[in-house]
Amino acid sequence: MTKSETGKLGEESVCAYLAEQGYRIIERNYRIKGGEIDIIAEDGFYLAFVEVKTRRPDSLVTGFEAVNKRKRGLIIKTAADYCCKHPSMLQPRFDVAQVIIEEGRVLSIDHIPNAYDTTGYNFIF
Amino acid sequence: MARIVLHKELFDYDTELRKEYPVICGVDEAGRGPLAGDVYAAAVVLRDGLLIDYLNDSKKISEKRREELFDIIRVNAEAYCVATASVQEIDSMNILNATMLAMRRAVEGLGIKPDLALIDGNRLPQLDCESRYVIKGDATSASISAASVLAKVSRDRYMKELAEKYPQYAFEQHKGYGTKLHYEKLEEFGVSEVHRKTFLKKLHD
Repeated sequence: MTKSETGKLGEESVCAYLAEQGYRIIERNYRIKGGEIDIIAEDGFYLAFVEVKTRRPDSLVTGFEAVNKRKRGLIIKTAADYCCKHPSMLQPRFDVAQVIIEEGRVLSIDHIPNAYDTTGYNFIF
Repeated sequence: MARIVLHKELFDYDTELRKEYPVICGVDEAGRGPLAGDVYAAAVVLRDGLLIDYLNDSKKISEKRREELFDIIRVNAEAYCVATASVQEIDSMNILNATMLAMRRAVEGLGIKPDLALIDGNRLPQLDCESRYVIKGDATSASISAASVLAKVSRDRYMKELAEKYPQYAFEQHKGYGTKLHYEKLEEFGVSEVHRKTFLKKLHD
């Protein structure tokens, strides 16, 4: 299984998980120049921008750690772009989901809603 | 909270045993405690290498998920059998022996002879093959967990049928267990043929 196939499987399983939790998936792989959001989903009053990180069970760095300051900045920038083009009353929220995959099998899904916010970044929603 | 999708350790447990016993079957029962209805047992043989998502400690699987797993297990199992022991058998030989009888029937009904039977709990039924009990087996072995799903779902469906047949006892609410409601209904309507008479001593006193 290639790296991109693993990533795709991770995103698929998070989508299924969120849908099961009652989220409405709005957009997948929303791209602008210099940024991408894996999943955009509606959760009640929230618009969740979900970054999916796929890991092997023996990984030294967790998926949550991998969403560092620079990566968060890129996601926030992309989310600001999305919100400009798709005005809505929903409160934006930034989530991270980690999927553990071994030999093409999803072992676990861990989703942290509101994992970080825009504090320290110069974007206003 | 992380959601565990695949409880690989349950499958690893069975894989390790298959080195010595190529064909192993998991056995579990359902409905030992209630005041009414047959006791159910299931035996399942899974092929080595088969992995089933969400198979886990039966108490941690939601009813909806159990229903889904029920079909997945039946489609993918090498062999499986669900068997019962009747209320009459429970009353005549006691619940423990009746449970062991149901388990034996399940293993014998597989159609193939396992090299090893893994039994949930701390007792062994009399079997023609080697057997081993596993305490908390449904949280330890994938085969036992699969058997517990088949036994539990089968018995739940059976209790639904009983609830339709005997609407006065509200079986759909207490599943036959000795709840306050169930005892109230027994006071009101008396004992039916699906009640385990040996479980109801308190009522007669």
